[in-house]
Amino acid sequence: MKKNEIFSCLGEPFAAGFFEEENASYISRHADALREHLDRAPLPEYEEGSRFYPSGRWGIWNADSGECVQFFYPFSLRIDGEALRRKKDLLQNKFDQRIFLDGVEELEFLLQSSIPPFYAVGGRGWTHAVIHYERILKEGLNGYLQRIENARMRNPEFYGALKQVLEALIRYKRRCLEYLTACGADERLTAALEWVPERTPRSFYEAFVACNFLWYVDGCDSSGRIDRILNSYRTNEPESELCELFAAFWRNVDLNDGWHALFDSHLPICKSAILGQRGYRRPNSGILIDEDTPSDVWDAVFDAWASSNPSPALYARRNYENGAGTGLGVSDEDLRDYAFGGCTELMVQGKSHVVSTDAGINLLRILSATGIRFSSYEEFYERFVADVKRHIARMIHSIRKNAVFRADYIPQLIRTLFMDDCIERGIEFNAGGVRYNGSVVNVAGLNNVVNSLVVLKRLYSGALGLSVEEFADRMDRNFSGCEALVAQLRQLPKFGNDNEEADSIAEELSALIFQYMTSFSRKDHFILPSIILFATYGPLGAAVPASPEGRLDGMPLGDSCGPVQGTDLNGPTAMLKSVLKLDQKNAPGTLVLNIRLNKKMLKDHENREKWKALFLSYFRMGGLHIQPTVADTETLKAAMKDPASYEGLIIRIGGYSEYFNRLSDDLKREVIKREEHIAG
Amino acid sequence: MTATVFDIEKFAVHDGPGIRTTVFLKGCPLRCIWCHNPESQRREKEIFFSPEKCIGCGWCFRICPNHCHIAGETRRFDRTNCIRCGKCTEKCYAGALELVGREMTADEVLDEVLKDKVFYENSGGGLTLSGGEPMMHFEFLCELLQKAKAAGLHICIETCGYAPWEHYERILSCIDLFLYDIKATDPEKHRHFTGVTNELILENLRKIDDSGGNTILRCPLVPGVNDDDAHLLAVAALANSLKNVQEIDLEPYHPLGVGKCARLGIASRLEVNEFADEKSIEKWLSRIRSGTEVPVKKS
Ligand code: SF4
Ligand code: SF4
Repeated sequence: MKKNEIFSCLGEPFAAGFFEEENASYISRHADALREHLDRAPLPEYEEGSRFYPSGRWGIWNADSGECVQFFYPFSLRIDGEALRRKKDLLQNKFDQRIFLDGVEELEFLLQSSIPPFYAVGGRGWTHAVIHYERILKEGLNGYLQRIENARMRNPEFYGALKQVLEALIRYKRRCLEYLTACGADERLTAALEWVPERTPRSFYEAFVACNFLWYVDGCDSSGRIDRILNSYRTNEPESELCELFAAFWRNVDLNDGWHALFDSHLPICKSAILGQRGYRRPNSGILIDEDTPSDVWDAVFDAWASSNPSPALYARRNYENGAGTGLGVSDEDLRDYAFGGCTELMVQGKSHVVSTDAGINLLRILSATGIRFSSYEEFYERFVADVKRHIARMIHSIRKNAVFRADYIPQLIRTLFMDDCIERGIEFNAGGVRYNGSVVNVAGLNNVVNSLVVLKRLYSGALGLSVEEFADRMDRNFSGCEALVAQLRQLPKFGNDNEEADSIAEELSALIFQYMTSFSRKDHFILPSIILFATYGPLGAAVPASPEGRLDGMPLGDSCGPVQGTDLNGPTAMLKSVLKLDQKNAPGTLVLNIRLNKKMLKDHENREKWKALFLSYFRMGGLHIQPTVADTETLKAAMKDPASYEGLIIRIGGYSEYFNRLSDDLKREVIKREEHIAG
Repeated sequence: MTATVFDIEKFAVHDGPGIRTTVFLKGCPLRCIWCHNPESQRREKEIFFSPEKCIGCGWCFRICPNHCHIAGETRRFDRTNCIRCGKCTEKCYAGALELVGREMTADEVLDEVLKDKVFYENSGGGLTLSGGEPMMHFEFLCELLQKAKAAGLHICIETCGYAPWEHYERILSCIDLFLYDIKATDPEKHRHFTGVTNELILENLRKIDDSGGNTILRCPLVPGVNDDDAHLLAVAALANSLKNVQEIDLEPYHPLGVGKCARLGIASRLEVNEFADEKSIEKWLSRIRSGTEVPVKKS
């Protein structure tokens, strides 16, 4: 059998397409792969009563069919290597088996990365994007087809590939329609899908049906400014209808681990988007806030938080509009389209390819490699800074090298279709066809390093009462048997408490790092520094031995750009002031800041006004972003079991507040009991 | 001029309007049986000792000039000869020994408070002086108030009302809002609960009111102790009899003071370990509301 026939008979249409014309260009081969999948893969099941299709866990690229090679938006494909190799045994013929394994090898070759694991900090060439929903809706897929047709003669191979994919998508949708009609789906849904996404929606519902379909087409990533885009199709739908549709869409997002959506607090529709998200962890939504944000929108946000869902996070509209554009080199006109992909990586929706997060540096790991056995702090610091710069340069070199590989071998045709200006320019997405190209690069462990530098300054000045050698020895022994020393270290100034000593170190170091990173920005590839650690601060810490601030071997790193967990002892005002010392304007990638709120404090109007004032003050002073976490009963219970990780947790009772850890166990239980009562 | 400060709380949101910083001064002329801040009562510094945090490092045994720390099967802290020099607390990195209270000048306090000025401006907040009883440090208070006013801060003072009228008179122009404690309305009960009667307190309140001072009446309430109907209605009547009461705040009892007494090595006088229950709180709110138009809130 031929290679493509082998994959085809093993239930691998995507791979079969890829091997159809092995000597064709990679663009053509990926187009063949997508087409084969779209024409052959089974359709996702219709969920009884659903207003959208697809809906639920199974989508366009991952129908529940055991296909081991699939389209996957960050890397153009993904492979379940183990399951795929097991399929070998289904082949009787040894020769077929060999051909099959050759194929598997080539597929796996496509997934290599030039980024060394050392720089896999929150990503290793991962790409998020927001496709151009607005334009696709406006022109319809038919309009896109027309544009491709018009340009075709300029580059028959490139446009031929795009046309092939787009036509396959339209055929796929027709297949869906037949299926939906046959299974008696909601008539409103079938009527809408008769029309969209080929043509401009005629109603809000049609627009939403189209967005949902396109979101699955894109592979379930980020939906950007979806509230604004949908808003322009609104007529007189009641709020309940809006909420119902948003809830149905967010459910799809949640079930598929979808990513960011950014709401606009000036559009009344945002309230429905927020309300619809009750109970859904995803999207990790955000909302653009400014001084003129209406109070009913603030209330919707606080209500959402009080329901223990820390979404949406807050973004400072003015600061992004005034500052963020400089990093992206974005035109004023396109600036209205900034949004976030993935966790919270800045990008221009529909027009940018921001590899996010591409790679990063683990600052504490670098410090631990630099070591501390020097004759003076100055000597140590000079060496550390040189090491950091060397790693930044290497990291950025590696992501650029990786970009070349991606362009050559894994063209991303879905995004080439749906992101400006790939079609106009005749250049593929990974090859730089979009209007703005860049990378979000990450910094982990900045706060740990700042705290470590506070310690080291004292160590070298003799204020710790230990020689450098003695201290280094103890650290090498993971501070074992040095509980008093660790306790002593814990009491030294920590970043995030409006402490001049720690904050000035953070100010200098963050400026140095972020500015050195952005110095690598080029017109055709900008660098956006960020601190985006989602769940990686644990594993990243696991790779780092005991560090000078008293952190033990393998313990997690700080989880945001704010104070390290357990060291925020001076309240939110102090924390925000410290974070403002970081060079925020050079790190619009974004600097994620976690802030813990007490649910009770979100309930009444008076307290909400105080939180509002707190956040707006932060934004006025240049802050970009705030990610709330709500301390609920679960947190309190966890804090009871593991006090060290919850040093900063404050409970508030009447006119008095206390650190939770300072209470006796009996009282803690009382507080938990009380907390539950109030929450209920 | 210095005062003993035992805490400076940022983003204090229950001590007046907006975002505030509350400065807690040590020392109080009253001895309320339910005191939730027993460490605020005595003017001098004190030592908090939390044996469960002790890691047995031995620093305190070595460093204490008076051998107050006793090792052995049960590690003990004998306070008889303790001169509260704080030497042991400085070395106790585990946090088992903590010095409560530090001497600060008015300028030092103000510097710390002004760090959050931008937040006060954006929220209508400011500085709140609390304690203990801030009037106990009167000269210090005058200096701080003057400087804080000059810096443009909105100022609240939380007071029990037990200080000479002349003192209140002198600070009146600096205070934007008095958070005025009403612990019991009946003089005898007041003496029983706090150690002093309330004539002076009520007289000062009236004079403040007559002089145009704004007040919020703050009522600590302990179920079954000082929450009888007569008291609740008397609070309402008191508010009605004054011109400038903005609000009545109820402060339901919480037992956090009990553990603190243990850490201070003193006996707690009210061994109530439960929080005030929601039912009682609702009852208090409606009872007082039945007697006055002044807004009544639970703080
Ligand atoms: S210094 Fe602190 S931890 Fe060490 S023995 Fe004394 S009380 Fe315990
Ligand atoms: S405060 Fe001074 S006297 Fe008191 S126990 Fe500590 S070291 Fe001894």
